[in-house]
Amino acid sequence: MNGVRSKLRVRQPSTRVGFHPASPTAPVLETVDASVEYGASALSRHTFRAVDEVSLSIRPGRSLGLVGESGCGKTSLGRAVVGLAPLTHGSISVAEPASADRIPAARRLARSVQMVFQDPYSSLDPRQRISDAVAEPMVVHGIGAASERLDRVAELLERVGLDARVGAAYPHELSGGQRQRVCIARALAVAPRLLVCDEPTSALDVSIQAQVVQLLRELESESDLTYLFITHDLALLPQLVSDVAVMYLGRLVEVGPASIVLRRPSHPYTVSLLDSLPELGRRRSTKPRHQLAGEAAAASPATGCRFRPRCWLYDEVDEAARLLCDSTVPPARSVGSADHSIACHHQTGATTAPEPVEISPRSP
Amino acid sequence: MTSSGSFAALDGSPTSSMAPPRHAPVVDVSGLHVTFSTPSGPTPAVRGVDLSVAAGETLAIVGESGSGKSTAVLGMLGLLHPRRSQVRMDALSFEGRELPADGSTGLSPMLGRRIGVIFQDPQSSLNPTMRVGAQIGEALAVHDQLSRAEIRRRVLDALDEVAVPDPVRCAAAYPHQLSGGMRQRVMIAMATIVEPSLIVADEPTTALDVTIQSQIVDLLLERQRTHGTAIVFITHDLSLVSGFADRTMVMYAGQVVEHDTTERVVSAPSHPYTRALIDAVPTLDSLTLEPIAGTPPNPRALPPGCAFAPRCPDVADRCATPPELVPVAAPVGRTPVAAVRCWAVDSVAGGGHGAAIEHPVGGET
Repeated sequence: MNGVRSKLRVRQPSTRVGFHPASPTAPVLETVDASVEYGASALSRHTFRAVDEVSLSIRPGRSLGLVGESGCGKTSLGRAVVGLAPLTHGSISVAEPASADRIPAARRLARSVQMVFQDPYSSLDPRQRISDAVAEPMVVHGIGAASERLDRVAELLERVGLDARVGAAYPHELSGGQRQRVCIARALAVAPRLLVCDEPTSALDVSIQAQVVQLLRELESESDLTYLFITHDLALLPQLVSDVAVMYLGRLVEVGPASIVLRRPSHPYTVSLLDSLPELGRRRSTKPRHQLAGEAAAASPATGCRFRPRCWLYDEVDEAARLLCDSTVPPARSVGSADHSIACHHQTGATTAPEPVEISPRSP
Repeated sequence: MTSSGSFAALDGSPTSSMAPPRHAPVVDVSGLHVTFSTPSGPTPAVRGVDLSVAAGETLAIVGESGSGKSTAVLGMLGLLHPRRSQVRMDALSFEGRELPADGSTGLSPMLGRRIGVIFQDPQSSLNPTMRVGAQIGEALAVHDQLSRAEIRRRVLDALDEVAVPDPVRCAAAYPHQLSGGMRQRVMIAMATIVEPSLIVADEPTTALDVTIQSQIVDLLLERQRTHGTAIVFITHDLSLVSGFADRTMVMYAGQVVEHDTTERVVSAPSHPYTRALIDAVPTLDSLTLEPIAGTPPNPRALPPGCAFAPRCPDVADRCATPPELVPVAAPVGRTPVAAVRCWAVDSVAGGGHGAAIEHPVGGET
């Protein structure tokens, strides 16, 4: 019985979180060789490494989009940043929150980084009034007196485009879009520097998704807020982020400015991802040029380059070049500009972007 | 004993009637109404939908959640709970045969024989306690007098056809042992093993990655190309269907608001809702999204006139009267399928209707 209990014990948030001094230029998030492994315990020898030595940095005001297929580790990395997933290797540092004297590291982390989850139906307590849900982080962090908190809740609800009277409602009385606004208001209650958004619009209809995206844009422009935006929908990224990081089976394969990565991708995986993205009005007369076959083998990743079994470039290079893919993990290297890097042995420059749409539904 | 593929075996089977000629509708339903009985009273979910799709053709039904797109098709198929819903049709025919239109059975006698259905969530539409192979072969076991060996051969052929890497292992697996993409391939194998003339796909790729989505769509289109199958593709993703659907119906509040060739729905939308929907779709080219103000109406408290009027940027006095779905002129040489439910479009139909249609919607909204 004791053994079972210890196996089910909830992990404490990682203690390896460091803090950057509160300065307007220090990164709001920096991960160095961060790895997340599941199943690691005294009782289990079988572990699964969901995130494998990922290093990235987010500067203030330069929101980052983290993309990849399901199972690539993007959500695990986001959860590790807020301390919800076990960081087993490497380090994560976040910006020091303002007024953080003499509070424990876990709470300092929560003041600096907050999270908005994918499903606004399960991330709100059905028995808690909206105003209590939004006030809870302030209660936990001891911010303000009770009356001040009430005013602050009304202010937060209005800031996310809700009527302050919504505070008296329960979650089931709200639509999905309204609930996601509540989740955003709750995350903003402690005035974080970084907001980790894990697919916040994928449960919403397209018209409601556009409302939430517009809200996130407004919040970013009117306050000192930066996003780590996790999504599988690459079409959302130009709206929301400055930089893009692409993950494949736990590793970063391409990082760079959104304008370059989404327009002139270099890594063959990014090229394939963009090729499979349906574009409004682009007829699917033939198969996408670099359509990916099969699925990512998370349980038994390939040696060397993990993308190799599905890589179209692997099929195009010669035997000697393939040996390199088979044997050696491709290190990250710069291509074109200093802030654009890929992890591929062979791709040298940017490939052409997917063909422009045939029918343009809107003027540029 | 012939050892050629499943097609040879099928050619002799009683279910493989001659495919109807192209353009003859495989399914044709008119005046479809669905009303749910709820504790707070009758809720009209579908309010008069006409739908037909021909062999080899893909019809997309696009709308937001609650627009009635799935309900309309489930009602037509006879898959709604008879005590919780009331289905009414003016006429229903399948492969040229008239069927009872009273809504008692819908198309359900054809399910598993001539119609295959693929649902959004393969996890919940597969039986978790049954091996995948047995589930795929179930329709054959129920409808055809086939030996177990023959059923197994057909199951493995069907899995092979949907590009499952190891059909034997997949057939022996339980659904939880497969990935989402594999489960959806299994659903397609299950839907197509009976050689249906109509495939109904209800958001089949919504739970999948774009890379897998692309593969699944290819499978369906390949199936259509080789077998002349008619496809009804229900989705909220206008970008996705704009790539392959022949016609698109846009639904709002239980009604079709615009129906045209997909190309024209996307490039020259006539209804304000279609325009707003297109402006809300994120693309790599758009730096801003235009949200649609407000929320869809409560089906129990619909606006008296046009259902979209409360959210419409061009609302006028005439919108207090419900508009009809009226045919609009089609360009020369095109099949005149276009129909729009909007007073603004109707009012110019007499004079300069073409002018209203031919202006592509710019970014002025």
